[in-house]
Amino acid sequence: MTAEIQDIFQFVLKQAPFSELPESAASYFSKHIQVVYLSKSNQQDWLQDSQPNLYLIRSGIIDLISAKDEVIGRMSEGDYFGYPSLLTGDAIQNHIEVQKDGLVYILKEHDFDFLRREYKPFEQYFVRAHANRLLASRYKQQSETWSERKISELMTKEAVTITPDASIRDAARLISEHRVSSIMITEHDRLVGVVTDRDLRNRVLAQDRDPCASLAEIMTKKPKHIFENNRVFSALHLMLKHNIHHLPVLNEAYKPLGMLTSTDLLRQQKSDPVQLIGRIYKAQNLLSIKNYAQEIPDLLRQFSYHIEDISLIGKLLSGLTDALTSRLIYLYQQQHGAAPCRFAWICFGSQAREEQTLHSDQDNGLLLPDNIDESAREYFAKLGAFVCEQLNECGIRSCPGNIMASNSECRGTVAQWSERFSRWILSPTPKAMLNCKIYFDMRFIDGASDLYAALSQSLANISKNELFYAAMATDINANSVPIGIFQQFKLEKDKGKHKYLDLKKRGVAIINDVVRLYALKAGVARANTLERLEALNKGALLAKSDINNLKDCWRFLTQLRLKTQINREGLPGNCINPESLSSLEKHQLKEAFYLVKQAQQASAFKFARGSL
Amino acid sequence: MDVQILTFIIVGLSFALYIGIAIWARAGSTNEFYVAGGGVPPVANGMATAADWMSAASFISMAGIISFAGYDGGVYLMGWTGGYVLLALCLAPYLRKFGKFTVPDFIGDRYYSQVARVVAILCAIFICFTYIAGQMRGVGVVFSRFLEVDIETGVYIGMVIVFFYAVLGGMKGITYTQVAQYCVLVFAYLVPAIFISLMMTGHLLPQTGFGATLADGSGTYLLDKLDGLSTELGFAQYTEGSKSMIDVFAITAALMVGTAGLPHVIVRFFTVPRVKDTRISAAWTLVFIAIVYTTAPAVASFARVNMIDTINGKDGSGTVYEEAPQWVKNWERTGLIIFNDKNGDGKMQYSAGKIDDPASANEVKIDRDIMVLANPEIANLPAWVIALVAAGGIAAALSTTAGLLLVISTSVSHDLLKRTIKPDINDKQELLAARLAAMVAIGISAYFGINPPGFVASVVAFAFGLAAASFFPAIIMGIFSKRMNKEGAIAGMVTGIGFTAAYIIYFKFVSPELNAPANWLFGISPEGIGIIGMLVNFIVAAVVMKVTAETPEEVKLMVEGIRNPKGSSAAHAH
Amino acid sequence: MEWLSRSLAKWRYKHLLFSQAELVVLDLELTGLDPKQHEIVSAGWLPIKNMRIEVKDAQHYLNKEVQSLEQSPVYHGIDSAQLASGYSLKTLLLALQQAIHGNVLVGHNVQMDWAFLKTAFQQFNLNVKPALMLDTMQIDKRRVLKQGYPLAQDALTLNACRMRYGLPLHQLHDALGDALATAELLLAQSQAICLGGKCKIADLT
Repeated sequence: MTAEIQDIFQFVLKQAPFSELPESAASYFSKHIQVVYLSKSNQQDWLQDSQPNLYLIRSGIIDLISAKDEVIGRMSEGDYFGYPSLLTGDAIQNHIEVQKDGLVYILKEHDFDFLRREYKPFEQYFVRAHANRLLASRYKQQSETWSERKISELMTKEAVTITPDASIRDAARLISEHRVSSIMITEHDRLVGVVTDRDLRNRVLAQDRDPCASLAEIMTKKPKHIFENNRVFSALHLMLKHNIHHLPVLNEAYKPLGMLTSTDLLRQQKSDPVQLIGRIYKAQNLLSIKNYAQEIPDLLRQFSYHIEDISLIGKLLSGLTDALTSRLIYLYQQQHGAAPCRFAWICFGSQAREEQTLHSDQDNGLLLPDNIDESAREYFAKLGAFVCEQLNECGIRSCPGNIMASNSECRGTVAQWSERFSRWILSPTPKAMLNCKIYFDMRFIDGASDLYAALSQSLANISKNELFYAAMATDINANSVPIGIFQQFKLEKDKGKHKYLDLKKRGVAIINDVVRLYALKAGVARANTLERLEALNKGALLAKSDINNLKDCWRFLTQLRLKTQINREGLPGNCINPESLSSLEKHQLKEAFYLVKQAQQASAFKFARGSL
Repeated sequence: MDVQILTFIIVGLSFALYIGIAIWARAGSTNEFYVAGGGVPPVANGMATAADWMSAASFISMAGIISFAGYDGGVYLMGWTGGYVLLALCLAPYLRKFGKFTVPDFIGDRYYSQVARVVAILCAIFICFTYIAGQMRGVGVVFSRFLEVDIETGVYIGMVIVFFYAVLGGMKGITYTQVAQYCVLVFAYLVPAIFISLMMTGHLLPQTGFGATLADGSGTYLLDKLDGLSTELGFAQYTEGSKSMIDVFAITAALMVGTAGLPHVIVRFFTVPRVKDTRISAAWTLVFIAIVYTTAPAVASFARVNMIDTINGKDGSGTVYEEAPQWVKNWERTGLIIFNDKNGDGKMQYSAGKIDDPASANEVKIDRDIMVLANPEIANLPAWVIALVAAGGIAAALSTTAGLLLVISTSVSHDLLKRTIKPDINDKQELLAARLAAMVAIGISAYFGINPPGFVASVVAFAFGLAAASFFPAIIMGIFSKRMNKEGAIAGMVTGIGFTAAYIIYFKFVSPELNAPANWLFGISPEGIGIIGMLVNFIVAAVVMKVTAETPEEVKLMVEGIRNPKGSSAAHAH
Repeated sequence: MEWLSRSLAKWRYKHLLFSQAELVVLDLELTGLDPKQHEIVSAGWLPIKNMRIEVKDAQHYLNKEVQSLEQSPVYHGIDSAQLASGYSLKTLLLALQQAIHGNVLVGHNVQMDWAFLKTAFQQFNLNVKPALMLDTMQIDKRRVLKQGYPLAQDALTLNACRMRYGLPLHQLHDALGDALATAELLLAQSQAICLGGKCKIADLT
């Protein structure tokens, strides 16, 4: 008779993959193990070829070391090791180094095989873990998520091309012959225009144009395009931003390779935010705008189940907010007459960074020309008030800090805005630093883009101040990453005695802050953190490996953060209780925090001369 | 309780305080209250800067030097105070406007040249090394006495503690930790001074006690007695200098202008967010420095009188060695007091001259650096006061050393490695390089701490001299002369620091036996030669400038931008 | 001559390497502290071979004849259904005899458990003698005292001892759970005292 030991059973039950399996699996596991105590003095006795076992750490900290003496990973409670050779039958190559003595459960090969046969998810879990480790060791350059895939993998149709001197009829024939919805017009192998079947309808039939006329008359010249090596999400983003459905794909030499359509993307993502954005851009009255806005939360929820790259959610939400804003500005002008002078509507903070969530509030402002008169100011005051109020009714809450175009401080001329920024830069008080963190993430939404360009040029000049960088770096380092010297989580407690980790404030925000600092220094005029990192790749400020690390961390933390918005246990927003994570996630989280901490320290070091 | 245990307790408590404050400040600095309050108030910033400013040299050694050299020692006092004023009023505002965080960056940008920047970085590293070496000596003295080990071991212990504090502790730069350090330091300095002042002159304030009559009823002034004792024992009169006027002037000036180039202090002016607050906090700093500096001469004189009285006995015939007070024995163990009974009478006699020189009657060699630390012991003050002084000495050394170590490590790993030699290293490697650099720096300075080329204050004086000869002219010309070009600045810095370093090395290491006024250039000692180095720098720069290409137009505009009081930043010139 | 062979066995065991020894770690659940008056509710034990705790050989026996349990069936968290699935005290003791006779018996405060077992074995006329007994509580008591610390109250409970070696907090469940917790503690102790494998049993007594 074998008795079941509750202590072991309860522990095993909480670990992946047993948490997903019938209890009988955990029960079998907990009845068939040996318990051993690992320490520095006996570390060489484990992971022996003669007896391949599965090891599960109950307590202590153990480093897994490769044959080349590189640390593969630091493992602690709930982590497994030893499974690769059980799966593959290959010789064991790794060994371990005990960092902190502790208990380890050993399952023999025979028993592992039993569980593997009986429970498919058990096997899958370890196969995946094995694959992940292999992937990780080759530096995760290729992510599996579809939005990260390259365009070339997704594009199905070959390029259908024609020269501009061909007739419209030729083009129509070619389109129907190839059963496509658009055609590319090329000259000397270079793309010069695009014609879609909709163009044939709207620009030819509806206008009674002669089908024998030259194609050049009706084509869209200098169309938006994308390169085969770009990622799918860039394509999606372009389509969302410009409300287009066809995107020519080119190779490095600008030679057309094919056409990517929104249907191609839809096939991948099943849900249809592109269309919603399109509908918003066409809304004719306030009521329909609000109706569309109500669809956003539902759509997002569906969408978030289908995609794995979480940065896309933020892009989508920001895209939707951009669309709402643009359309509201349009409607206001329809009702109250066109604006008396040029203007630019700009946004800040999370909307600018394109990492909005459903809980994000408005951060926006108006940029006006320097020679504006009082009556025009009056007009924009009303415009600002209208748009902000309507956005609020569309579910994008008013900003508690009053960073909104309805606030007169946030409606300024280029000179006024520059003056505001330079005040913060020259007197970097903690409050000014807080403002900088919001306002320096800035993006153009609607209106005259040259005004925006003038402001960003002016900002680029006044922000070139190393004392300001130093103040920012010091400010970044006042925030601490919740990881202790011994690699343990430092949990925060709220009044209800929940213990949690704040993923936004102590993770994502720090990465954003660090990246913003580098971007300012390098003069990168982007607001999105991943794009900023991408642009930083060109300079030498930040090493390639650091850039990749920060990107990975940012994605991982954002992903977890979104998870907290879906299922939470009464914790404050963006917070997570690490106990609710799988051991793998816990491990990754620690790793991510460690890297964030390193980036934070390094920024203090480079910009504030180590005034840590 | 005996002194050693008390020292452990009090030093331990002071460390606990620093660490506690560091943790508190980290947790507190992100909350809304802090943000709304606009950060650190100027008074606190003033104290923190004072802590940065006052090193082990100020704390331990300055009074010691004054005590032994009398009037001549005053040059340090004047030089350092003047230097601070010069820096606060004439340089910091301009540098701030230029928007560069470090002096090498200023020089690199102002002289539009990587070479100039690298030269400046190398100068900065060199200066910091010299400065730290002086600090290590000071820390070593403290530890050797209170752990009752020899000075060498004391330096090693200090080395480890400083390394952990500066590099691993992450406490540097937390303003309130430095405020606490200043408080510990000033308390530790004033308490014994007040005690002794009361005992000897009946005055509460050491500053007034210094000029008062003795409390023993004799009615003689303290300084008169000291003058009498000094001449009696064959020293120069205490209130009269033995240094020539030109040397005094040179040392004071070198210390003053050298201050401008000390990288860790300039940074303090930049970390205050508002320009207005910078001025207020600079004024506070001056007040806080003055509290210690005005006490120093008093401490020096009290200590001197007490020491001579105790060693030579009230009647001047010497104290019997076997009956010598405990402090003599204690310090003998560290090797910082040596007794050589030349006449074999079993009594100690102290007078001018060297103890191994048979012609001199002097039998006791006393290291000047022990004066402040030994002072409470000599005056028979309670054990806790003695322990407090140890904590103060460590506080003074830690705050300054940590700042300097960071300058060295960032200069090596960021300025030299990342930005110049190997731009593709990643953050981890950069941080590692920084720690290694700090370790090496401590190691090298420990060597100089054990084999010092002079007393703490004089070693530090060399650092100032080097800074005076290299940075000061480059900064001044950078701000006030539109025409100074890179060739001139680089040539000036290289010759300035080269000349000064060579002079010091020659007289201190190569031929120390020649180190006498007769052999000096213009009668200026190695401590003061920095000022000649500075002049050399100016002259070489001016000459080279004349024969090389003119400064580019945009740099001229930039320089005008800094000096233009209206424009709040250089960028506004666009 | 029995004592001679026993003491010989004892000597042999004492000089055996810990890694080669077979040990049985036992915990009893009792209704009270007095062997004359109180009873054994359950017994759990498991072997340590080659410094590995063999969970698959763990044994857990519930004594269904416990008198006091009938009055208060929820005592010890055991309900009547579970009790029905228990064994007679004799079965329990016979199984235990198999496991511990002539072996090394380990327990946390093992003397207490042994006092109960001795009484019970005598009652059924069973001759059971472990070759050697190791007490994890005594081991820790000696270690703490040797380091010169005063012993606080509660400093020698199973969890308090485990904490000293950084072992995870153990939920007090039943006899077998406690036996496992004790076994883990012994492994940690042997590691701390003499690096485990090179440890002789004598080093632990």
